[in-house]
Amino acid sequence: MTTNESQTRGLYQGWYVVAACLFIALVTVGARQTFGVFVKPMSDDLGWDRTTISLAVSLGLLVNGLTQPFMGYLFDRMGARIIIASLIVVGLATVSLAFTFHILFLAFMFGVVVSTGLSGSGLTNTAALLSKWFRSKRATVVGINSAGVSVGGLILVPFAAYLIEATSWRVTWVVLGLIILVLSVPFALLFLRDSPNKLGQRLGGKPGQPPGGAGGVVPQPSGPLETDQWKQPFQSPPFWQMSAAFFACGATTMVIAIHFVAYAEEEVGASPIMAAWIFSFMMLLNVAGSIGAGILGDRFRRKNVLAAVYLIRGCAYVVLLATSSTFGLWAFAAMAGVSWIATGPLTMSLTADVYGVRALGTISGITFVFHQVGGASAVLLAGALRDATGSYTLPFAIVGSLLFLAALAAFTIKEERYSIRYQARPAAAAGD
Amino acid sequence: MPWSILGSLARHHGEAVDPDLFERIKDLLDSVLVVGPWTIVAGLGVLILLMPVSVVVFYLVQRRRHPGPRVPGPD
Repeated sequence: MTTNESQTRGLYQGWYVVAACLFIALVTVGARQTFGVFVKPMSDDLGWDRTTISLAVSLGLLVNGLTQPFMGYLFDRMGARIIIASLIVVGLATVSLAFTFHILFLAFMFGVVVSTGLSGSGLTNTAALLSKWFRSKRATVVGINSAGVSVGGLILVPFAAYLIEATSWRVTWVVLGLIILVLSVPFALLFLRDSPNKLGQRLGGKPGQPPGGAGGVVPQPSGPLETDQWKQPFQSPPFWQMSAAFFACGATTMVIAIHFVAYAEEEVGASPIMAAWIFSFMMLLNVAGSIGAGILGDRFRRKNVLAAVYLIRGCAYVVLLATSSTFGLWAFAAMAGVSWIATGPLTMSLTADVYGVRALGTISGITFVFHQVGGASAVLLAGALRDATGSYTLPFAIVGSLLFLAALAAFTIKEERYSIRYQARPAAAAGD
Repeated sequence: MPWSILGSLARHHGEAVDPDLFERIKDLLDSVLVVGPWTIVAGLGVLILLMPVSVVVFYLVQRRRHPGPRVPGPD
């Protein structure tokens, strides 16, 4: 058996990269989501009020959004090393939260250090890495990676809550940090590699000779907008179409994350227990939605699936406002749940298809800023309109209507013209 | 004023689980799961541990069955 044959018969190395990225998303974002369960014990122990301790989360939100393009830029220059370095920083900073004694310590460690580290090991960078390993299954693997965020929340939030109950919040921060340092860092060191080319494997792991394996460089197809300059996409429509749609995505998910339970209780009359069940149901569906959208995105035109996802979420808002009943809440939860993070894998894989992978970390980071700005501005708008009108109807109608514009923006992307998927491929490079 | 707006945002922010909402969900879990906190911590802890361990074991089995060149160190 030759070396090349043995490589193609074993499992493609890219799937180990997927597993490592999934676990990184699970433990890091999960650890971030657990902050909410620390609020009460830390407040009680340190004598802080809820608003004071929440400032650390606010700062973290801001820092995480703003540092994303910068960390994406570093990823484009340094590759997987920046993900591993960020993991170590997040792990050490998480352990150090056990020694919190002052609000400024918490604000700096969680709001600045952890949040900056999470930008480095976050979904935009791991999705950019996975895009270098896969092309035909690109949306599927990014969808699996994104699902790690939801799974992480489902596992680590109750884990942290019960560990606090059994021990203390200080011990729990140490355990969460050690999970990152002891499990995810070695896992990442073992499997995270920049591209299949460096291992002599073909993109996607299809049988055949690896690039350069026959002594020559196999010509790779490239799209008309492919670039290694992060500013270049600003001059082309797909970037603005995807970013504008992602703005609507951020607006509609964050508004629901913050105001859904209040709406369900105050305007529909759902009991607190019922509201909690419905919200949990919606979060559970994230996993299926993210992976399902990825699979569909690889099977059909990504822009059409992306448009469909925005359309489904837009219809969910219509149902929510039109029914104002418990049934409406459940129907909304089902439709919004499957579309909640499904936009991420589709947007990131489409960005990779159109602009290539050389500046993908930076470009995806900038797109993510649109998502965060959309979310923050919509939450503030919704709160202000709720206070002014005494109802969530108007703010939900406004942000919900953005989804139909987002669907239109996604649907009108000229994917066939710009995406690598539809470019003529040299025969030797058409394995994936 | 901006801090109070940010604070209000953060109190319910979706990326960090809402403390009040989670308390209700935890009450639901407590009513369904009639075991102590250590049992749940141990169960979830084993689940977290098994994820990377099972992948590494699978990788080692694959390497044994399909010997090839070693994966080079971090790039």
